[in-house]
Amino acid sequence: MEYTMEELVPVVGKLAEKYTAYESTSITYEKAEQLMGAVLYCIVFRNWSKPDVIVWRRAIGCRHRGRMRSEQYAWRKNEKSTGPIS
Amino acid sequence: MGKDWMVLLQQQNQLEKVIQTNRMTERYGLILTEEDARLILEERGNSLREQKRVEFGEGIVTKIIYEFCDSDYIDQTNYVNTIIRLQEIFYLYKNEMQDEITDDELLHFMKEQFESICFGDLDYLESTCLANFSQAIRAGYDGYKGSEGYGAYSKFDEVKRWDHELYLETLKELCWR
Repeated sequence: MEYTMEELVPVVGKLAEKYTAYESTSITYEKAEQLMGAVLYCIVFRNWSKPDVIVWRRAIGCRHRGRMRSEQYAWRKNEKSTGPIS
Repeated sequence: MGKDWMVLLQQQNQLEKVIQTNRMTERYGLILTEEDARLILEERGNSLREQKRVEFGEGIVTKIIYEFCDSDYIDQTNYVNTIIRLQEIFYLYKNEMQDEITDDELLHFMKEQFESICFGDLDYLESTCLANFSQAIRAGYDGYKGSEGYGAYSKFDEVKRWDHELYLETLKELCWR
């Protein structure tokens, strides 16, 4: 699901109000960027946790683990033939 | 990602809220026209850009107006310019004080000094009172928190003010010399 900036900006505004405990009406650019980063992180995390994405992530994970194992195997084989690097 | 979304955050319509302050300020002889309100909000945008800050919610303009409308040193002739200068000073010192102080504490401090120490002189407020106070806050002073920003400046004031004893002393000098 995609969001437009017009939808995200009020969320950052609300987050900024809570961040300042409703005691400040403005924040620095730096802080605003951090809060926008937090909002984007939550959206990405939520999308990443959806059931169909989890299945896909598991598949990717299996493939990744399989590749890791074959790389480890190749490295060990190489180490045995050439001896450990000192 | 560019800074466009920060512009969006600042574009909330505050014009109506600024004009609504007339209901309270007219009893002090202070009225803002729509043109005045637009000018104040335009200058607010410039100050925010200059100080690299973003504002959200109701904003500070209305708070400044309500805090300062009963000042002895503001009348209809200098009203708009004073509000514009006050918001510039406000954002500058929010940054200088590293956001350690709340809006209300800073406004109370500014108003108190504006009336009692600066006698309406905005340059003195900016370059002396707030400069001394922000230096103290950056050094870790937090004594203003209990008093909401009131009565905090006397601890940092480097100038001897007119108190009763000083007044009598000077009067004696002038009369019995």
